[in-house]
Amino acid sequence: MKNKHNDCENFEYFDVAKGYCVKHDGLVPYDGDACECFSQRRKCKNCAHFLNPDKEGIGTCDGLEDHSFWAIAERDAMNCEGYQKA
Amino acid sequence: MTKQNKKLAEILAEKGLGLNQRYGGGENSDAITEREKLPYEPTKRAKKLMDLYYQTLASTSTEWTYWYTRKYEEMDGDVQIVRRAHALANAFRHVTTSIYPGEILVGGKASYMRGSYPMPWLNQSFFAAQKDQFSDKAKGNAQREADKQAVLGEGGGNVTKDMPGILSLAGKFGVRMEEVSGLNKITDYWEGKTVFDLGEKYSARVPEFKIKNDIGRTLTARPDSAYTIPVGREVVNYYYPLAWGWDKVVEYCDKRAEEVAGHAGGDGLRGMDRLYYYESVIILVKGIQAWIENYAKEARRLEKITPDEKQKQEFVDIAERCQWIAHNQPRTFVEAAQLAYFTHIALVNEEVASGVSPGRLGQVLYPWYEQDIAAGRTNDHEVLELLECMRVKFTCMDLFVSGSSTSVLSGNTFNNLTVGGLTRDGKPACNRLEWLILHAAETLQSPQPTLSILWDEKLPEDFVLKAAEVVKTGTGYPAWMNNQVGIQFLMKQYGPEGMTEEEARAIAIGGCLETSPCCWKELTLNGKKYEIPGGAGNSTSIGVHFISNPKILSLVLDNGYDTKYGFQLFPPHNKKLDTYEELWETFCEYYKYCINTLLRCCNIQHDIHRKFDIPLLQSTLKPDCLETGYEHANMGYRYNATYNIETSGTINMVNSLAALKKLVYEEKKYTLEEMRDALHHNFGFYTPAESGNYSMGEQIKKDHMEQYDEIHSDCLLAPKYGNDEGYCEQILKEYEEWLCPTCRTFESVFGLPMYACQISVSTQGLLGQGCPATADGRLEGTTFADASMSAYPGTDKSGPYALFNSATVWDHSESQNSQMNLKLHPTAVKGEAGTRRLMDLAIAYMKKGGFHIQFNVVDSNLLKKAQKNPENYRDLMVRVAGFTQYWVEIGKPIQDEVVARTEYEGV
Repeated sequence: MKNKHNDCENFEYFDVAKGYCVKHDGLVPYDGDACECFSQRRKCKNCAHFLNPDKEGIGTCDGLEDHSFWAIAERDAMNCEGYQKA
Repeated sequence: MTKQNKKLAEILAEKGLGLNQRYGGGENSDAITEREKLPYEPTKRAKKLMDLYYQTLASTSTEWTYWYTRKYEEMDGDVQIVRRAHALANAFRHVTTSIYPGEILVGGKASYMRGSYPMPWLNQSFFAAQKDQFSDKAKGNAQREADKQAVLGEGGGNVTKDMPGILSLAGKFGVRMEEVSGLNKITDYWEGKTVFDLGEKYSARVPEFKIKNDIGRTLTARPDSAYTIPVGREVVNYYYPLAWGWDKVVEYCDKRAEEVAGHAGGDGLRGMDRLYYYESVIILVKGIQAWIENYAKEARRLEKITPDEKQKQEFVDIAERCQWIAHNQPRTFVEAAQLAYFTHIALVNEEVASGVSPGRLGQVLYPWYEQDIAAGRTNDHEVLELLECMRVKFTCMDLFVSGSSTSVLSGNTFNNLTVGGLTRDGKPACNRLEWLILHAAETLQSPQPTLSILWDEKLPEDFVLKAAEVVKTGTGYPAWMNNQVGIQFLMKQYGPEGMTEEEARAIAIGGCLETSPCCWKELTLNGKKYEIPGGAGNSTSIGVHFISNPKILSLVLDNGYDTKYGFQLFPPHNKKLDTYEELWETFCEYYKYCINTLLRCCNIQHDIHRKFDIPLLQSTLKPDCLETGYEHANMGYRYNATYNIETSGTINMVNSLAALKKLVYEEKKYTLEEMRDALHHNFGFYTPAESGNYSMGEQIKKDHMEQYDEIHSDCLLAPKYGNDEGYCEQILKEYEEWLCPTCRTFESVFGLPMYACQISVSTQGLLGQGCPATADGRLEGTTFADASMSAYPGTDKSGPYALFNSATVWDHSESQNSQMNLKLHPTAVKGEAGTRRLMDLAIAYMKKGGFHIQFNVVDSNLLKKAQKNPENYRDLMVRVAGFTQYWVEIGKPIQDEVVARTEYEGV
């Protein structure tokens, strides 16, 4: 599966349909294909502590103080202290 | 129903009562007169950001909701206020902190530019009811994605329909489909635990509980005060972060926690709570500090990515600024503005809040402005640029609420910035920074922050003229509030809690029009002392929400039976109503019954809310909570008698009473039964439910219903408020002199007297839909007159000064507010002479004792064109009632009501 803009670290959330690419200084489609400057964004789905996601994207997070809580794959983790790249 | 059926607009025009009357000008024409173009342009930076805003969609996310819920669940069993503090802090720490190139001020409610969050812990009945639908859409959408066409451009940034990958919520907000599964899990967790769930459970013990809910579903009033927007319509106090810095707030709470731990302090009810309060503030503030530091971190990250050297440096500056103000008193104007803005965002994120107002921000930030200018650290051009950017940021604030609440608010967030007024010792309080704030509103026109001028005779004329000039741009602000009337109200309402005239001079406006109790605090910056104003009271415009005055009268006429919804709503009064006096007395009884029914349930709702969803940051910032250790529920604010009783449709009620008095009781031309019959048959018109249209001018006459023509005509031509003829004015006076003291006999959840609040927001549309035809000739389902002192469209035929005389027959200081909207044709205020005329007009009303007036400066022909071609009018703004909103984001019935208002071409 191709990487999308919203999976990239150069992407700042803008609205539900678009993001702002800091690298190229402009709006890009949220679900558009990423370019050659792609750099993987910290999201739950990319974290070693995100376990056993189901078909709806819900899995378990064991990376924080509560030890175990549900999480969704697409949740942004840029400010999560427990993030550990898978 | 055929095209031959006459519409109401035609019938009214035949009787000389046409909607969209023009007063004082030439003949009607279809030519469009644009608003006067003043020679001001925004700075390049702010324009770029505003252009970005126009491309953004109203977007919601479960990010905050998730992090709050996760911690809240973990902290199960802890003291509630501490549990809530942890949950809030966790949300602050983890939300994604987006920064866009070109910004000076950073921060936002959500990761999106125009973002918001649902807060199901308050009320999630909307989500619970649609859970299955959301799941189905999320699954189906993935399969149909290739076939779906994006539907954008409807209603500005409103997401009114689903799009590929996006679900539309509440007719306005978009949410990513991949969040739906998480949203449903959150909904499951909060089931049975929300303020709504508990509020309904316990208020079911009120004998009239079912009637309360029936009142709501019949649009007789907005029934639930605590379930929708329980916080707001108040003025922020930025003092502690600006004067102390957040680290000192934590240190202070640490010290106080040790002092109070284990001591009741002579207060067996609240004393022990102080320990938990201070612990909670420490937890919350540390969460806020982490949030601000995340912006610093993000700026440093972006500095490494961005290729542009100038932008890199700006990111470095942002990082350094955020890092500093996360802990310390700001050193410069831009740091102070940034910290104030962060504080504001934090407040509107801790609860579902609308009308959290910056107050006299120009006076609050003045110390930094003054010292930066004196030291050469900045100049007026840079300050203006920053103020323009601040306008963009405030406009980006959104509020996630249900569809009906959105229709009441028209999507507005009511961040009201007040200018003018007096200092504590009675001198004019305006300053150069406030002049720049006014100017920024001309150069960068946007709905937020809305502006209010506290007009006082002592204000210098050039400042007041500047305010009038801003109004001419068509943004509808500043609204004009009568400083002395407001001060008098504050002393009457809050005198028992210690309000003095000096303290009352700190007055500012919360929300759209809510006179709010404030106080003075002494701030030291680089050794120089300043006195700055800030909020000191609880939320207002909560307690009892918007009672539909015309509907109450309708119920009186029909012995408590709701003819529109077809059932017995109020207990029957069984009175014959043989005299006008008996009619009026019965109205008063039914009104009090309505207040009492709503209030008993709403007090329970608010009690649940204050126990569970403590507005902890408000309780940190508002004097005197930090010093005393008592938060919101423990009446820690300096002023707590802020809960009120709101009304709507006043002028339709007045006009209807006048018609009944004249036609039934004095002239005896019709019996009450004949009047009822005409009303029940909607004067021979189709109902909006039948015609599919709620707009007043579009109502369609039925065939073969001529038997109601004469009575309808007589009702339309009966005396109407706004022409200074005395007939309706006497009725208005009697109503106000009954309403205002009556409201004070009711007590809030805090056991304190309530008061009347007389604004409409957009309830004239929503509540109008639930009201049958009224004796003033208004048809079923159509909007009421806006505001509380505005005339019904087409009926103010004697000029603005007659209207002012009509409005000021009663003492406006007896109520929190009154509200008057006036629509001016651009030609009426053209040029410098026009600016002065506008100023004189506003002052004339103030001098008569009017509390509030606001102006739309617009040609109605332009509005009609904008209705036909909305895509060409994305940035057109109008003043609705207490707020400015984008035309394309306003519902059609309200658009039509604004078009219908009398247009003054000569003043």
